[in-house]
Amino acid sequence: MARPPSTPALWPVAMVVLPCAVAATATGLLPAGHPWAPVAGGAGAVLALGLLVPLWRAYRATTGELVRARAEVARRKSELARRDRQWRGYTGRQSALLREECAHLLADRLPTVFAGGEVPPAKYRGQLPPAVVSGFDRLIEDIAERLADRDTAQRMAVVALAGRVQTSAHRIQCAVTALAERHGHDPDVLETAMGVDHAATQQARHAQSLKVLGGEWPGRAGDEPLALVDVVRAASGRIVAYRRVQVAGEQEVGAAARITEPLIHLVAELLANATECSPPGTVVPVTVRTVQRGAVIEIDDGGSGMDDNRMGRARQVVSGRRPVALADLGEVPRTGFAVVGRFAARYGFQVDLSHSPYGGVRAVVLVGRDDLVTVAPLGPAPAPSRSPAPVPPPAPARRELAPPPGPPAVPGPPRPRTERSGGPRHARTADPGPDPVPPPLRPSGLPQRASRRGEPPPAPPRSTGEPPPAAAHPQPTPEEAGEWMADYFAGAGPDAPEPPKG
Amino acid sequence: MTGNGGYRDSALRPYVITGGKFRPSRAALGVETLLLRAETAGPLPVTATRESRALVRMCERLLSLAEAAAHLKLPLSLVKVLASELVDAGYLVARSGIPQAARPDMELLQEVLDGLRRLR
Repeated sequence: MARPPSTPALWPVAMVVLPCAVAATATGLLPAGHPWAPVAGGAGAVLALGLLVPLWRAYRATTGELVRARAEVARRKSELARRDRQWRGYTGRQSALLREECAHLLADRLPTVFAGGEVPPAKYRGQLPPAVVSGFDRLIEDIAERLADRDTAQRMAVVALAGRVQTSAHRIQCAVTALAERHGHDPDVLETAMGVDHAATQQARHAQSLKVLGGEWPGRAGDEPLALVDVVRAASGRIVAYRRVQVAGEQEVGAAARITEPLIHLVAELLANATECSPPGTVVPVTVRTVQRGAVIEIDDGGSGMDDNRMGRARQVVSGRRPVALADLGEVPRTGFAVVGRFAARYGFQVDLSHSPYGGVRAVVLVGRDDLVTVAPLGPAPAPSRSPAPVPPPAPARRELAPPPGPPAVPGPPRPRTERSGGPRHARTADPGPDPVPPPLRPSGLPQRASRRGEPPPAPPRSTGEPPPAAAHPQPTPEEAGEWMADYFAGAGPDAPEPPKG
Repeated sequence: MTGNGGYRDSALRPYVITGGKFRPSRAALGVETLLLRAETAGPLPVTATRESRALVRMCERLLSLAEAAAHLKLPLSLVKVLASELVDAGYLVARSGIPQAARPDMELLQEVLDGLRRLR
């Protein structure tokens, strides 16, 4: 805007010139020498001056107003520019934050929601508008909730379906067991029945694996303790290549009834992995041994092993440190280690993998001392027992393991002791000293059996009136033999139930 | 695993107990066959099963197959397979029928008879 030229200096000139001009003109209108001429001139000048002064004042006032108005405009303009800059800066920063928050949402928060982990908080909670932040939070909560609902529904469905499969597998086993009982004399029938049984047992295992991955545990505890070597054998019955599993080691350390089923399943999955990952013709050796903290089951395979990366991941999975859910299994599901890890975490078994001296993988399961019991050997007690037990085979002992003695007095690993009910151990009285540690242990930790040859024959039964145990009598009395045969034929009929074990 | 008609499976399936074999290698083994631990047999291999160990241990004394099955609480058909294998491997000796040692000795019977007659 072009400023009007400043004319303050013209005002005094105009105020002098104009009255003079008016005076001159007023004087000039009268004939020269008129006596009123000076009066007219003076009046005209005063009139002109009187007109000019208000005009001048008005002019000055207007100019002052104008200057102030201009200053105000300039101030406003600069203010506007400042605010504009400020706003641009603010919106720029906000949009950058929002962009970053969105990126955080997409890259970190949402994936964590889908993975089911702990969702990290919003990055710029204090800096973004609260509505935005809480909107994001609500979104995440909604997604998490729906995912959880869907996950639960799917798991329940899988568990229910797996349960049906397992039930049907057990029906098959039940049916073939009955078949085998009826036609036990016919090897062909027996062989076929057992083939069906084997297939059904594997089916039941797969179904139970699904249930476990779906978060349900085997509801049924075992009936009685099972020697760890038999746990391994029972586990081998649940895999395809059960003939390749060879078990050795401590015979008398057993798993408490409450953990037999989970332990069998866990070992079955490890055996399945070991047999599948090693050449078909090779043996999978399994060793049971007692250790200070309990007992271990070692499973070796002669496969090609794992590289360190896979081994590291697998160790995390089997130990239960990295839980694997149904949804994490992928298209070619490898359920074995995931199930092992679930059982390990739930029941406190310590499972670890390492490189096996056989070239493949060695899996070690440590069962804690609290979960172990001592089981007696099968069949009647080996020593002549004088307890008046009418039925020779005693139930397996269920004593909890005593804490290990300090440094063992005899070489060999500390082993649980079974006290047999009944009379004193024969032929051990020659052992001097009050040391209660009985018989020398073989390197395997098993008691050394003494030959009975050359010993005097066992004392005749005391006249308690009850039939003495059969094991102590190589030649039973006629009554005993009669009872035996009667029992036997009564039990061998076609409708007779299988002995209690089956 | 409950709710399937009261069925309770034993953990050790029969095919595991026999190692997948169902035909006794010795057809001659019957319920009355007597088993005895072979004098010359060494210790069982470390991989021997609990059933085999028990069988050999019980047969330190003469034992019939039927008795062994009852002690082991196993079906006779399975014990027959186990016993045949142990006989094949030389750990057990099978004797059919009444063993010679258990038969009454004729001389002894004669002596008893003579003694009885002398009592009169």
